Amino acid sequence: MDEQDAQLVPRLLAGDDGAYRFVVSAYHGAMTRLARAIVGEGMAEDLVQEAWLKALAGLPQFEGRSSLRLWLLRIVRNEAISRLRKQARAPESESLEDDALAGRYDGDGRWRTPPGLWSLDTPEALLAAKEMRSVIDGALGAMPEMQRAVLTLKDIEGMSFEEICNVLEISASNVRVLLHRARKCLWAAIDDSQRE
Amino acid sequence: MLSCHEIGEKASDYLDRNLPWWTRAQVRMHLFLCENCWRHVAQLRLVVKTLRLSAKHEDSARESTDKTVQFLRSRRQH
Repeated sequence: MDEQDAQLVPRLLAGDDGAYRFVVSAYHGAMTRLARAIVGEGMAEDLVQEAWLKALAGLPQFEGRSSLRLWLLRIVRNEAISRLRKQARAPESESLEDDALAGRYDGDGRWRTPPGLWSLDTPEALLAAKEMRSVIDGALGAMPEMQRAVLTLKDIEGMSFEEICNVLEISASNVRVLLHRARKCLWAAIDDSQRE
Repeated sequence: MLSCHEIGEKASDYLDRNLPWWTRAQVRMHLFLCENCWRHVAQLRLVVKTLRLSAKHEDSARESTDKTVQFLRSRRQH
């Protein structure tokens, strides 16, 4: 157990309000984003509340084999999968149009439709442009859940591949494929939009 | 030399430094020579940075934290 968790866990078990505030402040955002990635906006808030309750109940059994952060995110993941199963669904990894760049290359592997010149060429510019936010949100919304979950954990939360495998319980090669597809899809949406 | 399509397929691994050194060298050589692929990889890097920044904007909202802390406090008291 790392030092921070070793100090936090006993304080949480003792009901220390400051410890609760710290943990929620530190991890609630990531938990919500992961929930949203798997079950969508509508169910995410409720799911994360449920995850916090399960974490509270399970805290006495927390052994520190992983960090508190990964443990909390795994609870969210398990809760999300459980909710999808209740809807007789499994989280999707692939979409029908899984190669977002299909047709962009010719038979010799050269660009048929090369990347455009983007006028919005900084992160700040992309996020500030309302229509671009809409393009990004649309592309994220259309993605299969597992692609969105991997993209969220890697590129939004900055987690390592090992941590992502740990949270989502999928192989490293699977993480890489899902991440690649998700990034391609998002890039293609932004590129198409900046050409218009 | 790797084709543009192959570069596209390796772009994500290239950004994450997940390629064997020889493949990484081949990718870099191609990027040095191919403006389109160089642009594609630069734009992919920009997309990743944009996603990271979007989370920072979101995290500045305290309302959700306060609400959750109150909710947990009320459940602990029961």
